[in-house]
Formats: sequence, structure tokens, C-alpha cells
Amino acid sequence: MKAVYTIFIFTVMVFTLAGCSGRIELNDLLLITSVGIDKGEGDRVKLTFQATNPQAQAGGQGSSGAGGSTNPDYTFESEGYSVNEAVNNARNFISRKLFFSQMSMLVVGEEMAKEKGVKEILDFLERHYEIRDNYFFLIAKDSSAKEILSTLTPIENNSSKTIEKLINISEGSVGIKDGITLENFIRWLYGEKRSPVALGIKKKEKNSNVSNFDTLNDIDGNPNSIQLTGLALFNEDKQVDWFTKKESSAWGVLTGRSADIQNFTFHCPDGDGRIGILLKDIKGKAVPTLKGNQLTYRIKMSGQMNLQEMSCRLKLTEEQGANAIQTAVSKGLEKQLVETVRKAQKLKLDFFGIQSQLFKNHPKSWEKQKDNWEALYQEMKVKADVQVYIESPGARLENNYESK
Amino acid sequence: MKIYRNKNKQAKEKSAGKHLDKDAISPEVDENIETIKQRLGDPFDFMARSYSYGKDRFALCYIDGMVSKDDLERTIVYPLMDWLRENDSFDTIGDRDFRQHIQIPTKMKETTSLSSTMDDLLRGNIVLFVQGRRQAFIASDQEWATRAISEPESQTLIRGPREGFVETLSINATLIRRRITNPALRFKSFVIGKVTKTQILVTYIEGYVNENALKEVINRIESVDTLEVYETGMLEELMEEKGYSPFPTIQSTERPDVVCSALTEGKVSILMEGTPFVLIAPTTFMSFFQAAEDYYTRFDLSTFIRMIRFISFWISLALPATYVALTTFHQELIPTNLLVSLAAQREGIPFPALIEALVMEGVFEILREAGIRMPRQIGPAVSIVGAIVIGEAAVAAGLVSPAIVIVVSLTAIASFANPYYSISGSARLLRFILMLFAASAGIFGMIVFTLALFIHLVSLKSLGQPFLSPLAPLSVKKQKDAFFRFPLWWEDRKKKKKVGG
Repeated sequence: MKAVYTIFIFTVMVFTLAGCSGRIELNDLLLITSVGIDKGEGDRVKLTFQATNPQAQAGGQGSSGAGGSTNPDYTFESEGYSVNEAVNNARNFISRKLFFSQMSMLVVGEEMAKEKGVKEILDFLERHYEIRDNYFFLIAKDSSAKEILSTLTPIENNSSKTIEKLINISEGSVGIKDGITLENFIRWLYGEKRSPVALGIKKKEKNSNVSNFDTLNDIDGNPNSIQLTGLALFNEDKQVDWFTKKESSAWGVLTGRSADIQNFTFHCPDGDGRIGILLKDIKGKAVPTLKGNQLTYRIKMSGQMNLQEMSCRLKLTEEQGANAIQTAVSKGLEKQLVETVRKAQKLKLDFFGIQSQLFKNHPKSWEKQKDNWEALYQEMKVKADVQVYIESPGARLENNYESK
Repeated sequence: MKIYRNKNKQAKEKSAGKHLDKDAISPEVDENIETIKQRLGDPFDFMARSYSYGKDRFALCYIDGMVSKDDLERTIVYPLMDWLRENDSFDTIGDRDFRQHIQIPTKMKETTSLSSTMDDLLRGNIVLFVQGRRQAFIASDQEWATRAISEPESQTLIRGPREGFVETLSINATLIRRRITNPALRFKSFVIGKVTKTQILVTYIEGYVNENALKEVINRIESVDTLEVYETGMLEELMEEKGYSPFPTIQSTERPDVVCSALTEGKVSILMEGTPFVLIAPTTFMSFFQAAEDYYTRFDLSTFIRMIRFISFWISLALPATYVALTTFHQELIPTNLLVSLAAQREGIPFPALIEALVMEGVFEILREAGIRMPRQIGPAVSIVGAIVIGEAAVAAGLVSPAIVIVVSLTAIASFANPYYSISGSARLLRFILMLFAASAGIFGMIVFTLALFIHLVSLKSLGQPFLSPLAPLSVKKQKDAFFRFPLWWEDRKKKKKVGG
């Protein structure tokens, strides 16, 4: 009897204490797939939500008349003096509960990132109980976030899905593994004293206006496309400059975030023609060493390559030719890495985590030289040593014009 | 001289018996027949045949339809008559054992109690009364129309014996004997039910059996106080420890090989007249997931299949609840693409997810029950209507989402993937309660309920043995036949290595 009584009380407690308080049906949710933030009028911020339209997704079911030609997504715009206010304002005209936890990316307009910085945005997004930190963080180059989000891209029909796949599957020519998430950004900015970078995105054709569903009927996909660019460079929370794509992939190699397979193209060692390679498993170390007042950044990398194209006058069948290609590629890669570091030095920003590496590896001498960082960094020597070996020349060995 | 004395003695005894004991057997054959007839209410199928040779008389009583009449003449009447022809009279046997003198092919047992004679008679034995003797001789020559041994329908398999128990106790006992030809095999007979007087056999292997469990079984059987039992299910309920558990703590099976394997494991089994289901006790939660076939197919495959069974048990218990909890409380746990398609399916559905799930589960339960109860001829009609109602029409009409149809049908299929019907029944019941918890408190509610369930399971005992046995209390040794089915040679090989041959 006592047991029955206990079970009864127990059950009643579960139902009354927790009962249904957080319950919400799926059809009362508006799934936000990405959020864009732009500079609004005056001091205000402009938020753009990209939300899926479940009715259009249900098109195949034939139950409702709606399916077929409706947009798969909608974007909503809302302004306010702060992000929170803008989100609250959106509640006035969006009929369902905004549901953020499925958010896959945050796009910040270049104007906003350069002029106002992202500090306030970060705080709201980190604090919000529904929003996770592991979504991609992108800066819209030469355009506003709204433009990017309201582009109806071909194939995926949805810009945020396109961007996600660009980063995850095709990895872009930037070649950064797993992209850059807000979590990374925040850790670099506040945790590691390292100047953060973010992924860049822009429209393929700047002036095209493709937010109408009908544009998807155009076979020419280019005007609708959006593309990954080089990384956006930040000083503290404000954007200052951009890396080119080459520099971005060099950044990936230096920080160990490069994709498993990357494409590079280099000039031939003599004369015209190009070598295209597939760089695999590039591994190594980029370590700063501090001796007295001299900071040296030693880069030692090794990797394998598959030959993709070769229009040089080199004989691959001979050891000489193969060696020449290897040196050409290694030197080319070395140059690319060094140039990237030089650019960072010029900007006086440390995108590679050199400071935190020094702090870990040379805590004592770093403690002495800490205040002298800027001068040290300016004077920093870069020594690169890259060894790339040919793993496979591809499906053929000789050039067509070499064979005679 | 001798004869005279005997007669006198018999006469004395007769008069003494009359007012001393109603249960005593009278030396007068006709009187016995008359008494039995009277006590049974002159039944139409009570047969009494009297034979006389000179002044000797004997009579055979039996219930028509329960004995083999062909054998009756051959095995009892002819030998007796032959003996009489050679020896003239039974009187020459005197007080000595009647059975030792007359060689009758049928084995007979002797009794002096009329009521026990009648019990035997009603069980289909042949009763022989001999004029002038105070004993009845009981020959067991039961033969009645019985179902042929066939494949058990509740537990089918691909590889393994196709024999199943039938409704006749003696045949069932034989099925076990044939598999365990060991002198230590024991059958203990009990009678249960004040009205039905059903015969049951407690079977075990002496020396292997768990003595405590055996004692417990016998105790409980003896303390069962009931008017009727027709099926071991009734006995099971009367014997079980905690009345209010959704889990069966006694296993029942139609397969003789399962019973035999249980016996060698030291368990006790209970056979009952009139039912093909045999009880096995004590049992564990795990043993409800071990099908006979696990041991007949290769160990790797059967381990895999056993995993599937555990998973499907969990699916049949928790899948609808998980669906409800995830879609109404924890949307953030669902991958984006899946969530979008789920949301798309739920567009325009008028009911909340819980109602949707409850209704569909309810419809399925109705169909299931109808499928079992309906006359065979209507089967196709019901299944067509059911399939259309569940699968097509409800979705097309926008009453339920396609996702819930998948969930319900997966649950239904999973609930059949279990070798024992009784344990899937508990999942079937608990599923609804779990759904309510899930709908009111999400995964938190499910965890609370599951915890309570585990606490209950841990506290359960089957005849004094812990129900969750190899898991709680944990026994590493017994794990070789719990979640996994280790190869049968596993232990042998280890021993061989130790010997170092």
C-alpha cells in the first residue's frame, strides 16, 4: 500500500511540477536557418532571419494546394537599437515562435563588421539559451547580409544550405577544414589573444537581384550563385582587411586547419606553363622561437602531392624532372606561406596564435618580452622549409609534347 | 476349508465396512459399481462391464471415450479369463497379491479407497473390481482423441525441432523424457483445483535443480487455493510473487527443447493437463530474449539477432514516446533537415503530437486484437481496411502525419520481434504510460519513468531469484549468455588451455 502511495505521489509530482511547461508543437515553430546582421539606419542594427517555409517543403505530399511554386524559405527583416530589440520587434509580425537552435550560420555585413564591430552581436548570441555556438560565422564581402540570405541559389534553392555545403562538402578553394565557427572566433578573440578570422562570402555577380523564385527558372546559374572568398581579418572585434584565397589557404596550412586535400597551382621553374597539384596530408609545425630580442617563426612542413596538370617542359620519367617539380612546388608553397605571414606582420595582427604559442613554449622569456610584442612581431624572421613529394603523377606520366 | 474361511472373513469385513467407512471398497462388485454410478450421477458415458466365470466375478469400469477399448479386451479381460480357465477360481490366490499371480500385460496399481478410485476413473483409467476383494485395481490405459504433435504456433523458428507440446500431459512428459534420457529426471505429480482436480507435473533434474527454487515451487503449488485451473497462465498468476508487476516472472513455452534446456540449467518446469504451455521458473529478464534457435545457429549470428531483439524491445517500449518528446519538447535535438521535413509533415495536422500518437497506437491495438479474435474468413477484409485506414486514408485526409504512421508501424513490428509473447505484452502496456510521461515532461519525464521502471525491475524476484539476474547482481561469468551468445566451446577451450595439453 505504501508503495502504491509513493508511486502515486511520484507520478503526480512529475506531471504537476514539470507538466507541459516547455511543450510546443512543431507547427507552432518557425525554424530559423540563419541570421544576418547588418548596419541599420543611424545607430540601429538590422536583423535578417532566414526561415524555412514548411508548406513549400510539404509540396510533394499533395495534401495542401500550396506546394509547388511557393518559396522554400522566407527572409524577414527587423530593426532595433540592439540585437535583442530587433528580435523582439520581429515577434510583432512573425506568427510563429522563432526557433533558433537549428541555426546553421551567422552572416554579418561587411559594413557592420568594419564600422560597429561584432562585440554586441556575440554577446547576445552566446547568451541566448537556444542558440548554439557551433555554427559558421561569415562576413558578407561587398554586400549586406540580407542580400546574401535572400539570394535564391541554384541547386539547393537556399543560400544557407548552399553555404553550409560549400564549406562542408566542396570546401571551396580556400580549403579550410570544418569552416570557422562562432565558437572558434570567440575563443581566438577572448581566449587566446589571437586576432580572429572569419569566413567570407559574396555574391558571384554583384548587381544581380535574384530574390525572386522565378529566377530559379533561368538556366544560367551564375547570377544566383554565391561564393566563398578569402578570410575576413579582424582586429579585436572589428574587421580590418581580407586575405586573398591563396593567403587563406596558407593560413589553413600554418594553423593546421587545412583540408585533407587542397589544390594548388604554381608556375613552372623555367618559362611558361603551370603545375597543378593536389596537396595531400600536409603536416608539420609552425613554431615561434624567442632568443633575446629576436623572434623567429620556423615553418617546417611536409606533404605529398598528386599531379593534376603539368605543362612545363620537364621529363617526369627522369629523376631530375621529378625533383625539379618537387622543388618548384615546395618553393612555391614556401613563398606563399611566408607572404601570408608578412601580410599579417604588416597589419600588426597575429592570426596564427604566435603569442599563445610563445606563452606555452617559452613562458619565462615571454613574460619579459610581453610588452615589447609589437616591435618583436615587426622584426620577426620567417624561415620556411617545405618538402613536398610526388605520390602519384596521375594516370599518365609524360606530357604530350615531351614525348618526342 | 480354506474357501469357507475366506468367505466368512469377507462377509465380516463387508458388514464392518458398511458402517465404518463409506470410502472403503466393498467386496461386492455390483455394490461398488452401484456406488460409483450413484456418486457420479449416473453418467451416460460410465461403462461397467461384468464378467463371470463360475462363481467368480469381476467387473471393469471406465469412462467411455477415455480408454482404448481394443486394448481393454486384449490386455485385461482375456488374460483374466484365461487364468480362470486354468485355475478355476480366484480363491486360490487367497490373501496374496492378486497382481503377482495373474500376469496381465497392463501394469496395475492397487487401492483401497473408493474416492481415489473414482479420481483415477475420471482421469481415464480402467478400474477392475474383483468379487470378494477389498481392493480396486487400476490400469492406466488412457487413450482419447488428442491433437497431433505439431509445430508450436506461438514460437516458430527456422532451424530446430518442430515438435511442440500438446494438451495431453502424458505426451508432454514423453516429449521431455525423449530429450533427457537421464535417470535423474523427476516428475512430481500434484493435483490442483478443488473442482477441476487438474493434474500437474513438477519436473526437474535431481542433482542439477536449484533446491531452493524447487522447494519454493512445491510450497507455492501446495498453497494454491483455487477452484479451477485450465491453463498454466492461471497457475502462473496464482504462483507469482508480486501481483502488480507488468513483467511476467514465470516463463511459459510451447517448446520441449526450451523446457529441457531450462531443466539442465537447474530450473523447474510445471506441466499441466489440458494445455500445451509449460511453465519455467525461476526465470530472468534476459531469458525472455533468448530464443531456442539462438543455440542452434552460429554464435555470431545469434548474438547479432539477440541484439536486434533487445533493440526492438526498446523500440516497442519507447519509440512513440521518444517521437512525442522530441517533436514537442526537444526540437533542437533533431537534425535540421529531418526537423524541416517533420515540420512539413505536421503542417495542417489538427491534433497535438500526443493525441496523434495515442490515436494511432489505439487503432493499431484494435486491429491487432481484431486480427486475433476474428473468424479466419474475415481476415483479409480486416487487414485491407486496417492497412488503408492506418496507412493511407488517415494521412491523405490530413488527420495524422506520415511520420507517426512510420513510428507506429515500426513499433508494431518491433513488438513482434520477440520470442516470448508475454514480455512484449509488458512493453505494449508500458508504452502508453511512457507516452504520457513523454508528452508532459519530455525526455525528463521519460528518464523519470525509466528510472522507476528499473527500480521496479531490480526489486522483482522470480521464485526468490533476482529477476535481472546476470546484470543486477552483476555476474561477469554469466554474461556469456546474456546480451551476447558466446560460442558454446568458449569455456571448454579455456579449460583446455589451463590444462596445457
